[in-house]
Amino acid sequence: MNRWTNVKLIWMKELRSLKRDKKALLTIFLPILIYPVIMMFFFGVSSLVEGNLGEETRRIAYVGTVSSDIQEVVESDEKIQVVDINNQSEESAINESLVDVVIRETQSNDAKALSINYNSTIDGSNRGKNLVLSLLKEHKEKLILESVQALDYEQSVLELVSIETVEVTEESSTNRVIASVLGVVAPFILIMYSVIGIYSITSDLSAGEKERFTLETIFSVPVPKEDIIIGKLFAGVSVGLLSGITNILSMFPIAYAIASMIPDISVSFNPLLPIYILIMLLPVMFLACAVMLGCGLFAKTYQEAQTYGAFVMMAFMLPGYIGMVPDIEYSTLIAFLPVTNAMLAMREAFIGDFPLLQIAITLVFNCLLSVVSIALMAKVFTSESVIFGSPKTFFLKRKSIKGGAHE
Amino acid sequence: MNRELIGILIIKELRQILRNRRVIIGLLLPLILYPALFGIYSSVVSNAEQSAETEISNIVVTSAVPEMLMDMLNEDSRLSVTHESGDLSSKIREKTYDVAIEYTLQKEQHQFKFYYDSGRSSGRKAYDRIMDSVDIFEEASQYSFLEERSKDISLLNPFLIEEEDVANQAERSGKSLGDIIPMILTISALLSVVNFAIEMTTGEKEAGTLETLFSVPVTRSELVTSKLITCILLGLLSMVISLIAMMIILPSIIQQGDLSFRMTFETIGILILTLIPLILMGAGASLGIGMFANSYKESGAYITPLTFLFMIPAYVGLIPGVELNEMLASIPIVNSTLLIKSVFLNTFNMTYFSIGFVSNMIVSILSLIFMFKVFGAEKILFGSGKSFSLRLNRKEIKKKKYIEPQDAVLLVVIAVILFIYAGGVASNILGIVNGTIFIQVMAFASIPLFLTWYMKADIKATIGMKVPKVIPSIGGFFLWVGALSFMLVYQVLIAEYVPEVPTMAGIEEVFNDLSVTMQFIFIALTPGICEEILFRGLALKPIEDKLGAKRAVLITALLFSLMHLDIVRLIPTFLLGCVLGLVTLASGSILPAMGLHILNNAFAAFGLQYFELSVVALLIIGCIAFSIGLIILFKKPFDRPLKEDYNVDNK
Repeated sequence: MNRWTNVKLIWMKELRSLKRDKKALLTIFLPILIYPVIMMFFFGVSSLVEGNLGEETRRIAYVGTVSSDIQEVVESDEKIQVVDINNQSEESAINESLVDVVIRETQSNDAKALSINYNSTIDGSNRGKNLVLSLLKEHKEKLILESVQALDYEQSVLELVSIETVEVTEESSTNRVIASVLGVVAPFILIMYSVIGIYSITSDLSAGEKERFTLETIFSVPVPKEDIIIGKLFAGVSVGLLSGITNILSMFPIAYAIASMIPDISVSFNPLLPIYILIMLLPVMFLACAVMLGCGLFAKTYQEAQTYGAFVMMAFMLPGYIGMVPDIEYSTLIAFLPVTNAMLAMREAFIGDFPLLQIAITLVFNCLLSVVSIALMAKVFTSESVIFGSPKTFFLKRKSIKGGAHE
Repeated sequence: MNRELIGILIIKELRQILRNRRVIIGLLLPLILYPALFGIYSSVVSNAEQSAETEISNIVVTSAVPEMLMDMLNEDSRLSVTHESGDLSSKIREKTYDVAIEYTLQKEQHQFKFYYDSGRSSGRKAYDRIMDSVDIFEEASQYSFLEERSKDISLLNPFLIEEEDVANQAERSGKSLGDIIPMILTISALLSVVNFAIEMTTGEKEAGTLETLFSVPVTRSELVTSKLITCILLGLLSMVISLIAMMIILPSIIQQGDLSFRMTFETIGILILTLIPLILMGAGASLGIGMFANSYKESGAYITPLTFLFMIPAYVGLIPGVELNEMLASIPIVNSTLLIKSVFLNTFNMTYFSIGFVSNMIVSILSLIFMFKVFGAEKILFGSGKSFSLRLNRKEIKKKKYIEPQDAVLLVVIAVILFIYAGGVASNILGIVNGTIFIQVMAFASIPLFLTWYMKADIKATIGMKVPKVIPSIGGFFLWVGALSFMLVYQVLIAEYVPEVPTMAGIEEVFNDLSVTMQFIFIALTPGICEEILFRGLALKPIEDKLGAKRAVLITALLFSLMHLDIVRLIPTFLLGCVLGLVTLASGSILPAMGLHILNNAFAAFGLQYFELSVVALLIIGCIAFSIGLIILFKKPFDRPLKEDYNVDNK
């Protein structure tokens, strides 16, 4: 009980000093401001682009004889403008942007074929192709429908096969897809920003304190060193959590804006989902925080600690990105890959899946790793040589340590 | 400023930075890290994709399906088909099966029901795989249906549509590169300097060595200049290293990659000209911030939003459908991504490049102004110890004859920014002619005049609205004739390399529809008066007062030529600006410059077609006229008389 009070004391002390540090708070709460700005920016630009695209004309050219009904259909769209490419080859005319799309009609085996020439690397040409293609497909469907109706059979040839899809869960398929997308994106943001949040504070908790020479002051209070570092660990994890949750919450306006564009959306989740996610998240965060604190303790200056922290952060981001790979499966093997395993566990939970074996492996393995890293970190922290001396003597053989008493 | 001293300082800064092991690691790390990370990631992705491709989908069929379909499903090696009846929803949820097929035949109609979980990728995948076979089955049954009734099956396929992509493999891989690499280049140009800048400013502050530096006989301006140059050098170095790292990765990204993109001198030149303003921008902003912050922690807190500020516009270039146009070319950073992209796609356009270069330059100048301000050394740019005098409370501003030179430059920058950004809006509302006239009156004349009045300067003295001296005005005319001849020669020479001299798109048509009077007002009168009020009026004398005639003429001419957003005609416009500046100072009045400017524009619009002179004739005329002009203007040795004349004038 007594030890817990110590840890809590240090924990609260660190959080209080963070609260006093307006700039650190700014970094953590910046997303609240930044996400809406990004959102406005992107929506603004894309609506602008769409507006421009809507007005732009597409230049098409015919090569050889193209049947009049096809010409009529293509030119029915106001945005289409027919130009002449005078004997120039289709390819060069398109590549020199004289024309966006060239239509050529050929007759083979009694069937009429229309080839649409375009260049996929030129945006204008690509969009022109899409426009022509949609016009022609629409026309084709109309033709088929007309001739089928003219047949006047009891059974329509177009309705020989009917296909219906049934969702095995109670939800609609849109909602299921959205849930699966959320399951990939939300855990990623949560883990990444939690790690970034931890990164932003651990340098200060470790090397920063060294630099300010306040470690000695802390050591002079009657609290075991282990309790101090555990307190710091808790402080780091709380900041990481705060940062992750802030980021997730500030995504809400964006998510809301997108959701309002999709009709009939009502994604509902198990009310216990946040708690499950927290359980998955915490071991990863303790692991990240312990590793970063431990590395930070080796550093002499705040800046140096930031550099080490950046590497650790990258080491955590890579498995995070792997968790985003669309086809990756939450297999027994991958359950042993830290960070990725937690992300995949969360992903499965979003679509209502709880594979017990993998979850157990994930939890046990991540907890084990974080306990080991915490123990290592505590060892570093209690090592005089790392904290106050030259880091060179740490981990070296005893033989190479000079005996000081003789001199 | 002492160049030798700056050299020593730069070497000192470089040594200090390169001695820092941490910086060196950060500099070299991309060489190992990028390829390693990319390697791990891409191998995981391709493994996952491969296993997803070879993975078997479990299908369950609840009732007998048509034989043809059943055969196709059995033959599909990606599917494993079992038969089972009853409610299978729970088995799908338990992942025993991916899709369940329920089939009924009703009045010749084949009715399929597919049960699956679209929240799971395995479910969606299995469904897509089955649909391949079902589509074939549907087509086959349609054909046999028609054949039974001896109808032509072509009515189900009136014509074929084929898409033919004329782009070759190399072009396509160029496009995929063209999306990402410009963004990476832009961001790394902006952010490559940040670490070094922080190390050189906040680092020195925290180490307490900045005070030591200030105590040696080095001026702040020399110090900040050397830091800036060091920062840019290191930024370039780290960009080169990142590029090399990228070159290592590229082959593995583009697998069948034969890259069509070749590094010619032209492309390298364009890349450098596009990226240098960005490095300046990043260096100015981060040195300023680093100097402003008192600790690493503090600078870190400021750098984060800065990073976002730089990164978001760079990402905009990635949005599909975003194409370079005049508006986007004038937005800093966004334009850089798009310009580099256009180099990759061979759609490079000189006009957009000019606009982009100038707008990026303006922003980098602003960021340098910010930096010098933070260092408390504006005088290096403006030669005066005072800071900007634009205050919100007009009462605080003291009355003076001229505004400070830095205010004058700021005035021009504000005017140019207004002209570029509000210009498009005004043209949209008022039409291109009225809009352009309106924005010229507002941006170049009205607003700068108001700001000058606001800063309590003597407007009449600044602008120089009085009767000009006769002889210098005549000299000015000759000088202009000479300059015009040289400009025409330049036009002829450049025509070979620039097929069409870029003009504002769409303006030509509108212009031809106007009456001659309106054409004159639009092309000659308004720009002649408004641009002169700003450049030779409000900006010239304040700068001349502090920095001397020569620099004043050169600075205003440079700003004048940059404002025209036309790289091709940068030199002629600069020459014109010099002539107009000289005339103004020599005649003591702005009126001759206005007259010559109007004449110049009117001649370009109306007179040009009546003159057909050879390059030689033009050169001779130019040399003679220019010499006469120079002789009249500079009876005495260069520079001095101008200054004296002018000073006598005002005393």
